[in-house]
Order: sequence, then structure tokens, then C-alpha cells
Amino acid sequence: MSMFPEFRISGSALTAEKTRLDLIAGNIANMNTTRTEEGGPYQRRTAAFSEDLANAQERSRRMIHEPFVPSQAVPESVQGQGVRLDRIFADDEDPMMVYDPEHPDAQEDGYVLYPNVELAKEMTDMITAHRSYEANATAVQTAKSLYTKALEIGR
Amino acid sequence: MSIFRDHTTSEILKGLDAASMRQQVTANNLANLNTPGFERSDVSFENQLAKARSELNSPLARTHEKHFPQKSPGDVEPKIKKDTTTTRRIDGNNVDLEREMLNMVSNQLRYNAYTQQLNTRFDNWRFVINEGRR
Amino acid sequence: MIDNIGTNAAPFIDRNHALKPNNDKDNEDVKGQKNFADTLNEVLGGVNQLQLDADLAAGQMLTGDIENIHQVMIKTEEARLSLQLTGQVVNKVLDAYQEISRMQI
Repeated sequence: MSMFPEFRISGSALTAEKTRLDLIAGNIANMNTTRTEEGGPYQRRTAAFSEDLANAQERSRRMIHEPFVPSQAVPESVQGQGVRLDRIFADDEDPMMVYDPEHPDAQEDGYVLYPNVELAKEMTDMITAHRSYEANATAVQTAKSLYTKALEIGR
Repeated sequence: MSIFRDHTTSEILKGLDAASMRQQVTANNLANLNTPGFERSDVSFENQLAKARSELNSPLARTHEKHFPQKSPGDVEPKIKKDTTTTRRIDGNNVDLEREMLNMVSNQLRYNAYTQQLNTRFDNWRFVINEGRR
Repeated sequence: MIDNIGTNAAPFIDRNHALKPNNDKDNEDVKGQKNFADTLNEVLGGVNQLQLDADLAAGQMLTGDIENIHQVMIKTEEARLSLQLTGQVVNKVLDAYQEISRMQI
């Protein structure tokens, strides 16, 4: 796989955005889940991502000790390896309180705790994730076309 | 060194390296479109080459050893640079989707142009080798 | 001095012989110019090097060391062209030899 670094990089992004979309789908599906196994209402799930600098950290560490060349206005950078999932965690925002004494899960004060999921936010996140997914899929196609062109050299 | 690598061909080869590098960098930028705090990167080559060429015509006088040495066009190499000038969003990310897509398209065209140039050169060589009469 | 000229490509991939610097001083004419044999040797050495380069690039491609496939393609094509060139040169040399040997004295 390391022969095509662009595929690896874009692949990491496709996986990441797919993960985001899965979490969003789960959030929306459980928007009205007032009772979970752990007790309280469903808690919104979200994920934290960061740039994947796998081997790049080695190189960047070496670069720090190299003498600074004044002819370069901006120091040289390393090639990132895409994006990686740091962790998936539950959003600890307060749950929404709805007054409904008749509800089976109503508390003593008559309020029902609903999940801290806002549909508008989830939809926005979904559109963002989808845009990114499409862009990265296009990147894969472009890389593929570059390789195809390269293979035609000399023919 | 290969007899086929004249000056211009060497530059085209470096251009290909740069375009290939640029695709990777753009892929990484796109992969981190939604990563908080991420700074996009670029590949510099063509601009540096143009600058080095224009400096060749107006040589700078180097009167002190601490002056920057003038870069000759043959020394210009493709390099990855972080882009610190683009504005950032609230989450610290400065990747613009449309810009990356445009870069990707133009880079692809550049790559195609370079490979086409190479193919033409190889074609010429092949013609000279096989068809040239005494 | 001129050895291993054949239509088979294998003799050109001369792994046992490291490329030695061509010591022109021993073979120079009185006038100080390199003779034809030396030039041909140099060229063959260059052709051999190109085959080795292409071989190395192809090998690296298999293990995934090369990230730039265009490098491999270019080196392969250069090796191929140089082989063709050498083949043509050899043909011309042989043609010339035959023509000379046909001359009536």
C-alpha cells in the first residue's frame, strides 16, 4: 500500500468522515432515547481527529536540530499522512429538560431528561462530513489519473 | 549521467516531482479539512524556479559572507511549505475546500503537460535513433 | 576491450564489474585524443549504468520504496532507448567494417 501514499492519505480521510457520519446517524436515531442501559438519557457522541504525522514526527524532530537557513522565509514542512481518529467520546453537555409528568421516565419534579442532541447541529455536521467525503473521493480519482498518466510515459 | 537528461528535461523531471508532491500535500490538506488547528501546506517549485531565473539576469553583488547566496536555477528543488498566511476559521483550521479542489485540477493538468513533454522528447529520441540515416 | 556485444540484453547488465574510471592516459594517441575504442567503452559503461538504474528502480517499486512511479517509468524508458541506441551504433560499426572488408585493394 505504501506505493500509493495519496490513496493512503485520502483513505484515512474517507474512513474518518465515515466514522463522523456513523456517529451523527447514531445521534439522530437516538434523539428521543430517554432511557439507556446506564440509566439516564442518551448522550451525544462525537469524535476528535488530528493530523496523522506517523513517520513525519521523526523527520520533524530531526529538522528542529538542523540549522535555520535564512534564505527560506518559511521553514520546510513535512508530508502529513492524512487524518487519524483520536477518540470517540460522549458529549457531557446537560441534557434537555422537558416537562411531561405523564411520561414513564419522568423524574419526581415532572421533568423528563432528553438527549443533548440538537437536530440542526447534527444536520450541519452531516453536510460538512459529506462535503469532505466527496472531496477526498475526488482526490483519490485524481491521484489515480496521475498514476495512469505516469504509466503511459514512454509508450 | 544519462545522455537523455539535458537541462530542460531535468527541469521537467523536477516539475513532475513537484506535481506529484503537490498531489500528496493537497490530499493531506483535504484529509484534514475538518481537523481543528490544522495548517495547510503547499509545494513551492515553479515560482522559485522563475525567481531564480530572473535573478540570473540581474546578478546581485555579494559583498559580505553573511549575504544570502544567490540560488541558481539548477539548484531549485521542490519543497513542502506550510501556509501561514491564509485566514483561519474559528477552530484554527485554514483549509479552503474550493481552493484545494482548484489546486488539484490545475496540478493534474500540469502533471499531464509534463508527461506529455517527456513523451515527446522520448519520441524524438526514438526517431533519431531508429530512423536517422547516415 | 570491446566485449559482450550481442543482441541479448543480459550481457549489458554487467553486475560483476564495478564502473571503473576510464584511464585515458594509457590509451591516448600521440595527438592526445581518446581513440574510438575508449569512447565506445565509455558509452557502453553509461548504457550499463542506465540498465542498473532502471533495474534498481523496478526493484524498489516492488518493495514499495519508490513513491514516484514516474521516476521508474522514466528510468525504464531511458534504459530502453540507450539499448536501442547502442544496438544501432553496433549495426553501423558492423556495416562499416563489412564495407571496408569488401574494398578491393
